Amino acid sequence: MSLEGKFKKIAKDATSSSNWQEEAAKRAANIKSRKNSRLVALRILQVLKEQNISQAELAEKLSVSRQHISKIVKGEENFTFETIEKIENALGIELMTIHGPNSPMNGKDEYKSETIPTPSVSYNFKIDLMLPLSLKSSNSMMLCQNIKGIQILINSNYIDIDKIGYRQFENC
Amino acid sequence: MKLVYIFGPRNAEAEGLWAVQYPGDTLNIFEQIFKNWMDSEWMFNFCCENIELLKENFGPEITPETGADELMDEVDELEKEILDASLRMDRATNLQSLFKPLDDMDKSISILQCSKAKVKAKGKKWGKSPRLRIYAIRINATTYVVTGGAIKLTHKMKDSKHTSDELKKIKRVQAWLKSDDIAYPEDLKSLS
Repeated sequence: MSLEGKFKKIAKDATSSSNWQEEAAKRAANIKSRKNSRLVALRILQVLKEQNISQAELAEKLSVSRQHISKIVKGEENFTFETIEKIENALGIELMTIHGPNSPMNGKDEYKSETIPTPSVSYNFKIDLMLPLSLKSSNSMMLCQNIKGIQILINSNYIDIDKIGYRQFENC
Repeated sequence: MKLVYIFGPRNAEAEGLWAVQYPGDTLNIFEQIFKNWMDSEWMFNFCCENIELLKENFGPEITPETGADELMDEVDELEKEILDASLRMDRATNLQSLFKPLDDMDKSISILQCSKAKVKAKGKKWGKSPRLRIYAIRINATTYVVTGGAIKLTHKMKDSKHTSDELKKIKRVQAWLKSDDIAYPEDLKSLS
């Protein structure tokens, strides 16, 4: 019997073929949003560990089900701003900040950008569109330090996107 | 134990990537590995349990949070590489470009050879040493059977429990395939 024949013989009990290829393609298309959900999940897990809080206790604080917390910490949650705020309040942490012209961060002493070349209008537009949110996480530092030759200001875990190009930040 | 077909060239029922589904499992091992690795909680717990090994690999500043993120970036990259290879399979690309012999020193091709897939470290995008491994048994250049996968944080597989367990799984599947008579040189010729 040929190898194909032997393989067919062995595989005859397999219930079905996998749909991995289709699922993997979907995941590849959503890689950035998945990464963001993951960073929030890992931040929450780290804080829960540090503060010795169980997931059940967090569920109680947020008035959500244990299953919902499980989805969050597995990195499967597509977060709303409301959910982020609730988690921030419950754990006493800040997970996310918005950088923009009216951002509360602007003008604060703790966050000063050095002189930078004035970007073009379209360039700014791209940044505003693509990067309204920066995750506040120790991961930010690690990610950006991996990029060679790019000057990045990190102050209290904020990434100064003004100092790097759109393309470069996208690579982060 | 049974086999699940993961992907392969069109109109080829046996060629391609297969994965073992172990008794009692609801999912084949290939998809189960990625499901675990993409689960932030699973990865965080793995990093907590192996924090000392992580520090040896990534440096003393690593935390379960940052370690998990680093490893999960690699998961995304590895899945993308396998996906890319799967999409090329219809155009005479074979799985041998993805899987290499388990033993780095092994330059020969042998029957039911133990193999591994990992992120191509010398690629343009991935400038780091890859830690993730998908383990498979080579049937021929276009047919591999995935037996498991691991996050390899030690030099030798036998040096940590989760990687030495993978060696046992490879041997178990090899024995199972041999029991079904897929171990003769003429079998290799029939598809090459």
